[in-house]
Amino acid sequence: MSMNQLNMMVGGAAGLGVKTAGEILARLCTRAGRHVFGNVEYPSVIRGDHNSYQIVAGEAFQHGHRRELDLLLALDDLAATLHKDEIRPGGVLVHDSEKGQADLSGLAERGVMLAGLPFPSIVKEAGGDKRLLNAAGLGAVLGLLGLDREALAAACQDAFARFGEAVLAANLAAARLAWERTSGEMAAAFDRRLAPVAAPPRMLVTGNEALAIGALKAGLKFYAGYPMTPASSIMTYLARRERDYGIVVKHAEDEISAIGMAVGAGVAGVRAMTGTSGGGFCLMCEFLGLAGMTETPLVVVESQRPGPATGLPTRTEQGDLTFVLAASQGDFPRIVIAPGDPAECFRWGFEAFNLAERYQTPVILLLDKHLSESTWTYAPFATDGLAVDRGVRAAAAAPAAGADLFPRHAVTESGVSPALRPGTPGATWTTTGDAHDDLGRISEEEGDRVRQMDKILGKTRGLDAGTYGWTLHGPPEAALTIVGWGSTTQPILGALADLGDAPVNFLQVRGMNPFPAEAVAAILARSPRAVLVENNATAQLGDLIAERASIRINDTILKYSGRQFLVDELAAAIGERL
Amino acid sequence: MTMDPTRFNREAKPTWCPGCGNFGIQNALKKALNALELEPHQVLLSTGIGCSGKISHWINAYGFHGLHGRSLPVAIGMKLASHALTVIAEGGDGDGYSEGMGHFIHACRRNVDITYLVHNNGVFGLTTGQVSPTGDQGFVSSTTPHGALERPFHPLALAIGAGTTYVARGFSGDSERLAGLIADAVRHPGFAVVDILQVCVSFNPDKSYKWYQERVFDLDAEGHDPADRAAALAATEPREDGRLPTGLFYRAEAPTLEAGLPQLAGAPLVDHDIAAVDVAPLMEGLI
Ligand SMILES: Cc1ncc(C[n+]2csc(CCOP(=O)(O)OP(=O)(O)O)c2C)c(N)n1
Repeated sequence: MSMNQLNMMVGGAAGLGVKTAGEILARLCTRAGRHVFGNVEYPSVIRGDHNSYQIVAGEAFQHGHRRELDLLLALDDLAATLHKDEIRPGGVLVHDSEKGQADLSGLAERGVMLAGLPFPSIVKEAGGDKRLLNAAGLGAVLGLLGLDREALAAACQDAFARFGEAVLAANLAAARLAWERTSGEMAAAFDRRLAPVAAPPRMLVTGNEALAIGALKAGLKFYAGYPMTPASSIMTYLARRERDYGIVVKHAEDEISAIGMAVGAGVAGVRAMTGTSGGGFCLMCEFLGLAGMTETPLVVVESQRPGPATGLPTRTEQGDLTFVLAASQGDFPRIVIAPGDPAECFRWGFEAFNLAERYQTPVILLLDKHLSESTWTYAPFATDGLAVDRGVRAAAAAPAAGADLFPRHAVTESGVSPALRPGTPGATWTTTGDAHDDLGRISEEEGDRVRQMDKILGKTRGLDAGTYGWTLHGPPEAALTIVGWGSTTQPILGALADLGDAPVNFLQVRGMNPFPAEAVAAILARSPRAVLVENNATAQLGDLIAERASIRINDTILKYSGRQFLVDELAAAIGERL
Repeated sequence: MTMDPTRFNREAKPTWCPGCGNFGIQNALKKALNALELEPHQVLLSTGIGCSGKISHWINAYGFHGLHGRSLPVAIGMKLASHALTVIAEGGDGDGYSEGMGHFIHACRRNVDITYLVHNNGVFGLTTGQVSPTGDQGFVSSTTPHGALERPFHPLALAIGAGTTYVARGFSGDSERLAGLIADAVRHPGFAVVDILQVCVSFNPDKSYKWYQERVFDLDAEGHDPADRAAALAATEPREDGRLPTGLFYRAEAPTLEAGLPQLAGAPLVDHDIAAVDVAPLMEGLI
């Protein structure tokens, strides 16, 4: 391992500023030319319990997190107790040597350096209280990583200046006092450094941020939601920018209203989106079907967390695939896409709107907490070649022959009826969630029912998931094929990188509906052995493949503890099968 | 073009029962839209599910007949996306005061510039006559064969309490007067509720046209001051003589939700050019 490859964790009770310290470190690493992966773990409490922020940094792209820590910054005893065994020989534990009570026996014997600092005295001397603890911890870490006095000052400036002079001065003082204690001998004994290396500028970006930016690029004009982890940060990201981008972001009274508003905005002719997690999506189901029935373009983000019910509100799981594919009564076309990383979140956050308008039907983007809230580093996403396509629009607003209505649901060869924006003079239309005829009038005639069902169910036939709905990573043929989807994509790629030249490839499925059945079947047919890797208890992609591609994969690597696979854990599980 | 309510006619004939109060409401709505000198294409209706919600099929305007209880969120999304349009939400008392009650209260406090017309007949018409939240205590229907136990509530008391800036009640049997209230409600900048006492000849026949005509009167006649919130609330209290006040209960001036959104100060969102949105600064911000 090079001295530039770093695996660090900040841990402590909620309220101690773990996430802030973690984000500062992640950004410092990014600016020092490292690729970074950041994983945040927190319980659904505001004060107490245990939070952690793990940062993996190195010169190559970082796929995910792994168990062996180079450095643990324990802001309290619980953090030290929970994670001390993850520190590798030669690694460091930064802890409170003044009031700390955690049992650290055996660590020194294992070759772990104990960087004990009198944190209570340090924050007192800096003129503050517990609120300076994370800055002091940060100072200690930066001392160990070889940052000089100026770099420390710059980092603090960057992190705390926005809170005002006084806060900055106190945090800087605390950071400096800790830095003075670790930057000498301790740093000399530690084998990791954060010296800058040349690299192009990179973003530190979560899946939710990437998706929101993609949606704005697509011309998103209206977003409504109701706070629910892990989808909330889409709404908060957009809300902060609503004036700059001339969009409206509405915190609705519940998820039913959120999707209802988005449907209304879509009917009125703007690009509209809503987002939630599984529980909120349960409430949205009826409107989802209404969008399908009335042929209203709509984008819905479902960022999964472990269910059922409230489940593990702040943890991760891929347990809603089957539900999302079948949500709402009756048959209607839905496009379901599961991006695998922030770059794909950006791409599909953009493209979802073209699909929704081209096919006049709901598009669901399926994420989860790991993808929504973890951070990765990317060069700014390329935007050339991203063209807005608003689908088929009516050439002229005129009633259908012999009628007093524009034919909102005209049957055409493609199945897509030309759209006409309300407010256009020359005609009016009506539509309904009741079964209807081509003119949008309620009709219970068998002929109308069959004709309109055939029309809506046929209109996505031209959308070939074979072209976008899967990626085969690694060699085209291999002794073992890993099959996965969504947020496990990056941990799997990390594990494959760990396994070096092993004869393994990875089929990432992205198009959940329409489903790339032929491509998947062909790849699995030529693979001697396949294993499903899923972050759920029942291998839901496995069921989907069995249903759509008629191949049952019996071997599974499943994790449903509410945590994402660690790269090394996955590499070991895959390695066992080779 | 001649200004005539028939501009809002559709060829299709309503499927309401002969004598249904919805006909009076339909006529009043057409008259109001005509009086407002609107063109059919400038009007967008969001309706709920019930006999009442079908009205969007029989008014010449853009119409979206959505879900039971959900006309308001849809209407709010429509208005925020395309604020130059006249947006009207409409549905029954089961729709708005039972299934959609949550949305109703929040629409009251949100004050988006839309109009909400509630066809209040005290029953669930389309599902054949079960008691609604405004139906009388003791009302016998298929789900309350021994008489409804819950007390009815007064929707306008709730609307005033929740901050609605225009609160009125009309009667389906007086479509001239109702048209005036609807036009006034549409003109009002902000959320305007018109609760409409509606005759249901099939499932609430005791409350016939005659029954209502003997009881309804205009608050105006009593010298009611619609700016007086306490008086408006008092007017929602049941009267000993059983008479039913109609007309404008309450009106207040308050900024609309839209007024707090500078992004809506110019062209409606629907007219924004989205071909080349620049997101480079957002990505810069993440570096
Ligand atoms: C979610 C849902 N629940 C129930 C129904 C069945 N339903 C249709 S209309 C209706 C009640 C109609 O009563 P109201 O809203 O008062 O309208 P009216 O028919 O009296 O005009 C109900 C319960 C439905 N369509 N959707």
